[in-house]
Amino acid sequence: MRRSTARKRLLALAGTALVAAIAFAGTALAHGGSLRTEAGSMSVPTWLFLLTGGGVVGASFLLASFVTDRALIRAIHDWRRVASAPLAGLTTVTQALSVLALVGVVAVGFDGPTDPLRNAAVLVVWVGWWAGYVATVYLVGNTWPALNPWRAVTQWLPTLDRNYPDKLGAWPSVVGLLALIWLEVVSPLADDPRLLATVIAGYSAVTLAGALAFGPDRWFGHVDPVARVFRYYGRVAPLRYGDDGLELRPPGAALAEPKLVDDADEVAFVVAILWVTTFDGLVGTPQWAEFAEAVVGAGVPAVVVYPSALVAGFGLFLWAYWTAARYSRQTADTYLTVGAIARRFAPSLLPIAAGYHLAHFLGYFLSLSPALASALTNPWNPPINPSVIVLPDWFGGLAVAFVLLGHLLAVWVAHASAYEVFPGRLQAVRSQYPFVIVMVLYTMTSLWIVSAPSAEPPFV
Amino acid sequence: MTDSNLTDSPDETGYETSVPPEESPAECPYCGRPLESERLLVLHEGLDHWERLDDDRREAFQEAYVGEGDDLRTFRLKMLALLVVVYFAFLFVYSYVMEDPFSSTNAALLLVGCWRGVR
Ligand SMILES: [Zn+2]
Repeated sequence: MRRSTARKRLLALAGTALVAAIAFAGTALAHGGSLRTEAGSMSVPTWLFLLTGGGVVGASFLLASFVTDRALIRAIHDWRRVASAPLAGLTTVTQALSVLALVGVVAVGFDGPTDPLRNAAVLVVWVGWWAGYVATVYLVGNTWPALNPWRAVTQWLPTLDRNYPDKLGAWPSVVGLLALIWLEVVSPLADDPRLLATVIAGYSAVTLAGALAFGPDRWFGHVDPVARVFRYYGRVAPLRYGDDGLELRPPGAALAEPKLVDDADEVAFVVAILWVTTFDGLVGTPQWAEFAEAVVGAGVPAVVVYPSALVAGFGLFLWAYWTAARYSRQTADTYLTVGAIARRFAPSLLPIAAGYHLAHFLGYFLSLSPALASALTNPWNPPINPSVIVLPDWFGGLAVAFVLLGHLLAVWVAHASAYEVFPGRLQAVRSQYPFVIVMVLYTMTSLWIVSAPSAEPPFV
Repeated sequence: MTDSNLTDSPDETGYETSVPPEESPAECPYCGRPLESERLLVLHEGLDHWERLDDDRREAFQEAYVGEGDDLRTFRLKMLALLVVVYFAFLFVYSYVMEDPFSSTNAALLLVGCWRGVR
């Protein structure tokens, strides 16, 4: 009885929140859509557009703080449907297929057409895998363990089971993730099929050697950045395959569980996921081009600019997050250590990264998917002029909506986590003040990147 | 600083904590987590160790939980006020920037109406 009135109240609240957010963001969305096409005739100045985005996230925190019924929050997060699904036998098939696909990608990369829009390897890796497949991981569920071709190969071979140095923790994956993104940004990996095939072959060699030396569980659990990104993104998704079968939960509910992030290296990895998605967009803005040209003009060697910006930005993001955790200890007036707070709330950053990824790559995926399809039908001799979908103007508004949706989910996950951690309900809300400030600032940054006109990164 | 690392405790609720030496925390008898006040301890016990509590402690928890309601009500009112302020601030800024005299007049009228309603 009480549950149902509470649910009605929540529905009403969610409805109000949605209407308010739409009313708030309506003008801003129109603005975001028009920015890309006609930057000259904008009706809302950029500062106001960014401020509105920050305002929506701040307002959503205020609205979330109205939900103070612990039973209701638990009911939402504990809601689940489990279906038995005998999928275990299927993994051998999917793994075998994905090993074949890997071999095919490398072969077409080395030997197929050199035009990136016609080369199936380039299109499969960037459009099919990095844009499309990654989106399914956080929208549907993490299917990577069933596909990971490198893991499949190492499972079929005997491993050496050398001792992995435990003190390294997950730090190698943090370094690996930053290195991969650096490579992606500075080299023409998306334009040169030969280079892409070489990099994939090199990555395969390192991954196979490492996994065979330390065992696949250690390697893909601590070192391989790709498998680890998928594991974390998969926690945002509603579906999960476990011992009981296929489990359906509300999106993001799994992020409020304790011990998902259990050390400082894991916090760093989650922050790195957020930062590399941001950096990827940042280098495509005209402001970055201006900045890089000014720095190189001042005498700094061009090769240093990208790696140092990548590391400095990562340091800034980490610093901002840990500073928020430190202040959170004060605002919540708690005995929990700063580290405990930082670990507990790190997973709530993941929906933000997912929303940002979707904003950044959905348009890319849709517009290039016909080219992908035509290259796949005949990888060695695809049609000369692959068709590309031209997206309508309002699509830019959709990107802004994804960024905001990611933040709204993040605010909710953090709210629910705080209720799990802190016995006092006001204490829980107070613990979120510093995080919300950081989130509002981050929203404005990412909206600025998403709505900026695109430019070619210089010196790459 | 006395560090008591609770991450190895068998209880799922174990958190790493550190208590300033001059403070005397209320320690949870079930999982050892130091709480910042007696009231928070009662709440913590009820939330995390409900099965192990006797009737007195359960009643104390229910009282404390309901008692939070007053603070929360005040807090919600403040948040609502803040929300209204933010909303109208945006409305004004938008109507100013868009140079649309009607929406700013409407916003002003709405605001006056709300204020009268509150009074
Ligand atoms: Zn306890």
